[in-house]
Amino acid sequence: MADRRLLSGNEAIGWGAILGECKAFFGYPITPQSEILEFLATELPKVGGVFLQTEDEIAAVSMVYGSSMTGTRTMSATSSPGISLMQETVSLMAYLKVPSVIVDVCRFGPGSGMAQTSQTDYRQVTKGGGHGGYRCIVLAPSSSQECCDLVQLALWLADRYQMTVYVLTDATIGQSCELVDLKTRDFGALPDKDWVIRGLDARGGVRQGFHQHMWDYVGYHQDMNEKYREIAENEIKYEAYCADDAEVILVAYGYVSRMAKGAVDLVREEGLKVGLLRLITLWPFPTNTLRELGSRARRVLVVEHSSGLLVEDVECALQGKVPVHLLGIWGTHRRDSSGIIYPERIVEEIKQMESVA
Amino acid sequence: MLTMGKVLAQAGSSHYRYVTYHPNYGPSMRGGECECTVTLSNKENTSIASRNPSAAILMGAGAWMLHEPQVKPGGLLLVDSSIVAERTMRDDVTVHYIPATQMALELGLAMVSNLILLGAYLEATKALPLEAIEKALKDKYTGTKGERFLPIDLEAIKLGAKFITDSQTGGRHGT
Repeated sequence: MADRRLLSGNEAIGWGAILGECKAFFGYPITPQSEILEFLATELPKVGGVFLQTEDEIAAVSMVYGSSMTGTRTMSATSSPGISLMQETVSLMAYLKVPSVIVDVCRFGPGSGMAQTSQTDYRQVTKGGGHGGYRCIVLAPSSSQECCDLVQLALWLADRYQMTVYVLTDATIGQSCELVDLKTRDFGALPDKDWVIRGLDARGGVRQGFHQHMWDYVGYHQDMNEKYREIAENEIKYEAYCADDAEVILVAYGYVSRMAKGAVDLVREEGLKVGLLRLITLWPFPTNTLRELGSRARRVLVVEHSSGLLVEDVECALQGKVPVHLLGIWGTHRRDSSGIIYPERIVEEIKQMESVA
Repeated sequence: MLTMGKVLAQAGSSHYRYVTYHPNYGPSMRGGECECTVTLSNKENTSIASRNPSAAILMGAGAWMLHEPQVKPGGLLLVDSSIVAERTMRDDVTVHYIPATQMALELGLAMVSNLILLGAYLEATKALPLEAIEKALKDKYTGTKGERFLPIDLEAIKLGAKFITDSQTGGRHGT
């Protein structure tokens, strides 16, 4: 029988790290992600891994960079302001093609923000975050099970494409508990890490330049564009829920996508043809799928716990051919930072939208 | 509030296929109001939480204002009447006013008012056998510094359940 446990999203991320054979973790505590550190501080050393709580997030990501250069599967986790602090090194890792996995359990921003749930980091993690026009793969789990599975996938993708992979969750996913089947996921063979730094002795005293594009930025960007194209062709993930006959398509990710799924169930009971496109990869974005679903729908409703960030990518994909509506942060059940967007509020929005149609 | 939810979810894990425990607290974990939603189901919990739960346990005036109107018609309200003075105007829900904090003080520990309400909830809904909660509490606290409270925890659960059976047979009613 499978090992099935009640785990918070944060604990499930820790389990995903262990099952995905992450061997080094560097991080600094910040609500709402501290349970990831707490878990790995105890569990990672038990499987021969290294856990270190650093003095801040800049040190954490710098150690991720150093550790990963030795070929070790390495991770960090933080929440929004920590992601901002890490950007200089994330940009450097993008240039040097260093694999890494960084978990962002999003808090309410901007600034130091509030510790409760939100989705205000979408643009930061999907559009680079740091300078230099690079991209990172972004995975967005919507349950504890997916936290466990997608962290394993993130570790694999980081090695496969030699780049930073973000796992973007939120306080709701991070702190809610659900039953998880603890399973090791196999995503296939990986290329040899022939780029790792092994020290002078291992190379007979010959110095090693670890960057194939040193000073050749045009070559770098051409190569990376090729890689981004390959990723967009092969790695897009989403769930289309009740979408085949849908006249209204909801688009959401993270905790909000679960609320939207609940809303689809509620309106389907009343006979309304509503479906959901739940994004699992935020980059690469499922542009073609959305375009196809949109071409059969009368309207699209984006639901996100922010002022409207995901909606920009949705509008871009739909090219003005379908009306796009937004239920944003004003859809939360209370005006303080404890507010969340409930399924019933989404149902209300759908009905209002349809009645003025 | 959060402990009660977590214990209910943990106990539900061996009786239901899908369990979701959704806490919402932020800095309130250090004091102040917080809330959580627990969903026990054999059908997939597509949503993480609902604005209209089938039952609510309310232990503060703020929680009353926010959630009393939201409970589903036909649903259940369990209120700590030692703290919440309000009375519902709704006639489409079952309400139990339980002086849980007072009862907990009589047991000698105000902290177990949550477990009195949890015992009442289980008796009123039969969502889980009391033994499942007792096991979850034992699993959680045996070997920890909370272990010394286990006997009073278990007593509180039973007391809450008894409050409901008594009220159904004309015994002690909430005031």
